[in-house]
Amino acid sequence: MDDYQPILLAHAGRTTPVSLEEHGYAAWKKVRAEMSPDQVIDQVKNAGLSGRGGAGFPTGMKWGLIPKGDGPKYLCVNADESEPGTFKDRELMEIEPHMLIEGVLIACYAFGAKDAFIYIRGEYRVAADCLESALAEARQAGLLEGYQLRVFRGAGAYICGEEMALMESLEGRRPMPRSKPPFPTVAGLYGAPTVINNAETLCNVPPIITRGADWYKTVNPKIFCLSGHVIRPGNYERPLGSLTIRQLIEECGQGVPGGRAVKGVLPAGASAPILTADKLDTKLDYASVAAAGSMLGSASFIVLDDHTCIVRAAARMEEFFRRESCGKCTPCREGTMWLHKILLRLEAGTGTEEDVDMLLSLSDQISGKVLCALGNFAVSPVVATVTQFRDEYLAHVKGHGCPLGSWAA
Amino acid sequence: MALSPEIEARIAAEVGKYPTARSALLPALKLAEHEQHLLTPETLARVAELVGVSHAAANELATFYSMLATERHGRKVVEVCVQLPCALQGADELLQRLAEELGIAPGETTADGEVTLQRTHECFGSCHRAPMCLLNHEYRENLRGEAVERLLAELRAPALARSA
Repeated sequence: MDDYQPILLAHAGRTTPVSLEEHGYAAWKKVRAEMSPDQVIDQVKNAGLSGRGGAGFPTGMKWGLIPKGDGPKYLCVNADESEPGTFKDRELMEIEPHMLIEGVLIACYAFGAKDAFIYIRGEYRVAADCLESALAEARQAGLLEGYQLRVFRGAGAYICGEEMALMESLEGRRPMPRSKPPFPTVAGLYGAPTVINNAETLCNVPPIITRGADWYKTVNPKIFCLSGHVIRPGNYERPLGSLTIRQLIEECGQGVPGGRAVKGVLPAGASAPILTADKLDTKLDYASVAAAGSMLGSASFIVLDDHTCIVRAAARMEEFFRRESCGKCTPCREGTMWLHKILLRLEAGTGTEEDVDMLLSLSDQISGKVLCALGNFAVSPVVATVTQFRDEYLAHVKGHGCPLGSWAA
Repeated sequence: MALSPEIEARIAAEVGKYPTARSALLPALKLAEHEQHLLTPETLARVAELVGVSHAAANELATFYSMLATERHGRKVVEVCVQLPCALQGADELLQRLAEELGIAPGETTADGEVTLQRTHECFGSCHRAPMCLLNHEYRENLRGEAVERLLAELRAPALARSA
């Protein structure tokens, strides 16, 4: 697929954003001139677009769930991108702010919202500034008429990427997930029907409008973030299902430094179970990665070479979940702290075999017993590594330390 | 220190921007923090008053978000990401080098009050340009070789303007 022409990352490598003139807003003009809201929803449904933030919910179906008629409705754009290993929305917003704005406008038109909030993590100042400038250009050009699009900057909290916590944050309350149901399409932001879409998802909408659902189905572009032990890390856009994990590492990432072997790959940052080297020929689509025992999620691939200590890697990821737990649900707040503490003593060589089993029983008391997906994912680094690398955990116990030594490349 | 009239006016403008006044609370706190570099109980009370919410409402946001400072810190704050993708590219070694050069441990501020060094578990979305850090919320990426020396020179330089 080396002759693949990227659609979302067509201007990758640029240091200045694509201008309004270059972007053109052909899809938005076509929607306003020729299409009814229902036609837009049908076209997105027919294209088979699914959410790119991680959950993979069908986008057109989500828009169709919003009740018809008057009354406030909102679109929230999730650009809070904070999963370790994920940096795709950042590049999209820094280079293609108008593509995102156009996707936002078309979504608003489709389900009848007048107000949209682009929630962007506080650290992404450059991206937020690019979006603000692009919004000013679009407003000047009259493209936003009848719509209010606002950029809302976060202030450093992983939980704000959770849909309900994001809305709490927008409402000025401590960002903690709400119990579901009701789902956002029924009672979301300010209690009104709300659609929340990931930034990459909305960037897919303009090409679906201009080039059609049938064309889109044959391409189905997805951005894969590649980091860790690869020679050329970065964002790579390819059609879903067109390449394997091995091809992503070897063809896009130019392989592992020093010609080392791959020990494992995390397909969706710290939240997805690790896949061992025997799964490298798994095709990169949602169903294939799920069948291999993990999830494609946000498609942020972290590659670990065979010199990497798996206990240390698990401890580092669990530290993230411990510190970023919002604290609302006791199993996540307390459980991630204990998981991290136990992993640290195993890493240091002072753990016991009982500790290894305790990691699994503790995980069982967190997963499924918390309000949000982030809490459920908090056990992934533990369960997947203990079950697939149990011998390495036990070697830390028996050898009173790490058999591998250092871990940096 | 009281908020400047300019910041008070900008906070008042934020309050009118959203369907509820409370939505302006986080933007207001960020404006106050940007000017004062620190959110003291007095500043929080004033921001709460301007937005029309309780002091407790302001306090619960200020103590939750990592970018809102409620504790004293140096004029330059360096946050080194040590999350997995950065750690695999030598972030722990980078943090150790900075600690040695500054003569402080992570979490500490130099005796002259200039530099605070933070080890952060958070991922800042620079995994393809690892290792990295934030310097007063600005990205410093691909921190190897010469780039580390340039960062150290920035930390030793007498003045560093805080970015917006």
